[in-house]
Amino acid sequence: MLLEEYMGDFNYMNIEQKLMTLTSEISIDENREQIISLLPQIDQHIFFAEIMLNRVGGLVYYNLNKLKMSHCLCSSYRRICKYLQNSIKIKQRIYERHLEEIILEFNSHKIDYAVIKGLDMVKRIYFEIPYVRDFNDIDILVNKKQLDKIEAILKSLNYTQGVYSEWDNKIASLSREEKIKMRLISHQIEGFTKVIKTSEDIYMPVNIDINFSIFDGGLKKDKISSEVLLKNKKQNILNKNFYYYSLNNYDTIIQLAYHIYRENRMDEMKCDLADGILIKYTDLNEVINKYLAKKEDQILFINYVKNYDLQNEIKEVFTMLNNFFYNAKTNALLCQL
Amino acid sequence: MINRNIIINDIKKIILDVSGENNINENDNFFEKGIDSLTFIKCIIHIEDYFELEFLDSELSFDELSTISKIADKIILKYAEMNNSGGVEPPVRRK
Repeated sequence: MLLEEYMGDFNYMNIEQKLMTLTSEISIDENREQIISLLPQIDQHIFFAEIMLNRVGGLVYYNLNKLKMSHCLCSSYRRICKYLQNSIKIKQRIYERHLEEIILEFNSHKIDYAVIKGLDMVKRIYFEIPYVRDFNDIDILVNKKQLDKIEAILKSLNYTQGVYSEWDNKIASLSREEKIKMRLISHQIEGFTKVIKTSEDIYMPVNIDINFSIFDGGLKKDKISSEVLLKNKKQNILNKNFYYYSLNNYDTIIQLAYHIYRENRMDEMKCDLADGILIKYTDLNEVINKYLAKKEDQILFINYVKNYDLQNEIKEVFTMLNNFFYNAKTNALLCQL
Repeated sequence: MINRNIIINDIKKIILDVSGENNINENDNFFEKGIDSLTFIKCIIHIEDYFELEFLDSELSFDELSTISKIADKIILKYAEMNNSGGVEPPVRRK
């Protein structure tokens, strides 16, 4: 992939953003020359801020190390990246333990579910390079008819609905009006949180987000119902001898793409710098690389997308994705949409 | 004894008060009558406050609560459950 091949947004990026994008792929072999040529030109402070805001710090640091180029960051930044990897490691272990506990309860109560987004990406996409993909919660897709049961199960496991505040170590709940609003006009219900104390005496929230749609929720009808998505779910390995359910490969791509599509339509998300966007494109790019590598899969996926009338949404997001990561597979898919 | 007509009238009064509509029948779909989602949410809050109950997450959907009649059925069911466990009667709106 040559720098000149990039179109649109990449051309408008500053040098630090270009380097961040080039180093935010699992395989950077094709980008090697460009990375090496850009490295001496960057302002490391801007570069560091960019990778942290875009939540790709772990992956970028891993790739710079692989190229033996991490010295482009000063020792303090390198140390923070190292801490980040360690914190991802601890967080992942804690979250996996809690997910196991939830899944056991879900299984015994016959709850239909699929883990989506962050932790699912960690297990399915980034498993060969552990502790580089950061996440802040576990997102679970469920059937809305089972919401009451799920709420009761999570409460029995000592989760509280609300948002954790690290200032006073408390969980603040939404007002009844905000809760009803969230349930009725979004795709999620109010999140669940449990504050745990780690063996190092550190308080840490475990956040569980319950989604009942991968689309908009509210008055808009789901293009694929959650019942259908969950019917086609697949099993994955969480860790030794423990399995969890996730969406099938095509539905995973649609979920990731629609998530970007939806957020790009929300003004408040566009303004929220802290909610970095690059990691979402990185996930989508890697999922396409993994699941749509073969031409047959690409044709089947396009038919699937057309069958559910999702061409416009997928086309919009794939066009943006191609502006970040020029990918021949994405390009081939765009030609067919 | 739970009186469905009284409940229907009370819900109707709340919907008309909050939405500013002139008239709505028990089987009219709120959204077809032009009530938007935010006004609908306000109506639900007022209904919960007035009847002193909360709808469950699984009940909170535009489909499940799209008419006065559907809301009334849910409220009657909830009061029946509360009565069975020695609960209360629904409040009666005075004028």
